Amino acid sequence: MRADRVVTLVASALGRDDWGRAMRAELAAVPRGMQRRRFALGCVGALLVGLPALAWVGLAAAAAALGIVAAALVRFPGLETGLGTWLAIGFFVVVVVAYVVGAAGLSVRLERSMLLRGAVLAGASIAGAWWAVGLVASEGAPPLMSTAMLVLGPGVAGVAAAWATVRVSWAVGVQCVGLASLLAGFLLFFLWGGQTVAFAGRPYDPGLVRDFHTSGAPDLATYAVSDSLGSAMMLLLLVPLVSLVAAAAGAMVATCARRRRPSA
Amino acid sequence: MARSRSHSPQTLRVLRALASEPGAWRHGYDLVVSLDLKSGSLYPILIRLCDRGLLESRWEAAESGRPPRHVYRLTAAGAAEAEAAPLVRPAATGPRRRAQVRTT
Repeated sequence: MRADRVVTLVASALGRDDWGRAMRAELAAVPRGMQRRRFALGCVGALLVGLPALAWVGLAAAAAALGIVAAALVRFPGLETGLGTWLAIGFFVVVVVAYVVGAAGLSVRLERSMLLRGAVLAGASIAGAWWAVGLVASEGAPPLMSTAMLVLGPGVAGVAAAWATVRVSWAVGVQCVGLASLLAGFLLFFLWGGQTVAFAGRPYDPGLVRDFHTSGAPDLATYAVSDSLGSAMMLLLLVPLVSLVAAAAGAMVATCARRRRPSA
Repeated sequence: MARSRSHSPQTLRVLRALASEPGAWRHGYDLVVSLDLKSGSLYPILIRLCDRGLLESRWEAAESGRPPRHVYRLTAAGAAEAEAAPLVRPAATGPRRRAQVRTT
């Protein structure tokens, strides 16, 4: 890929299009060859240096998520069952990389709106809400209660987006919850996946043991880890998507409410 | 009296280079060459100085077929900051400045 395209791509992903354009224009004035490549590399470094701390938190969370999957494969070699496993891991890596880039870009945009702390708080609340739903379901709560609690996570996302919309704008409200939900997804995966690998997928409930006998898995621990890690990966996809939909709805409601309010 | 924030030796070199030609617009690559800085060091400085209102930038039309270039010069606050900044010690300045390059 050409050096100027790399600079443009990184700048655009990080929400620094203006500086990306400035650097690209300078690149056109730099003699071709090693000098230009070094200049481009320095520009990419300069774009990354100024990233908010939260972007680096996203990167660390991604490394932790990949580390959990790697640790699971090492500890439970039976998880690898052929091409399907590697395709799933490849998809997971693509999702994680997309989340890191998304988190970095949103951090830069939200830093300008001074809403980074709000995004962190919203992220922790969304993760907490989903974790509470899982706890209630695993404790054998009535299905109606578990189902009713499913609105908790999206509800928090919607309220957070409405709050940011009232403070700044619709776009910022969605961006704020976008970042929050990416962080929440990572946090939930870290907690769930880490716990799964650390405790070999325990506790084993009767349903899991029953399904294991027909699964073809080499042992119960491998089957439990496979099942639980799959759920954690689904959660990593599901939480940000559902939260974003709820955020868009919350932001829309807040925008409508703002328009209807008579101006002072 | 308010004290200016302390700057890194590299930032001071950029401030002084820009202050040496008050009012003149400079290109990023020219600063890289004349100050013998890497782009990875210069751009974070330019971004920071712009964010702090010490530097102003504008787009300058370039030769045909080339994109407009970003040019920079000190604001009044930036010029005052450069004036108030301590002299850069030779040890911190790195290799000798190369000859001033073309001004396109």
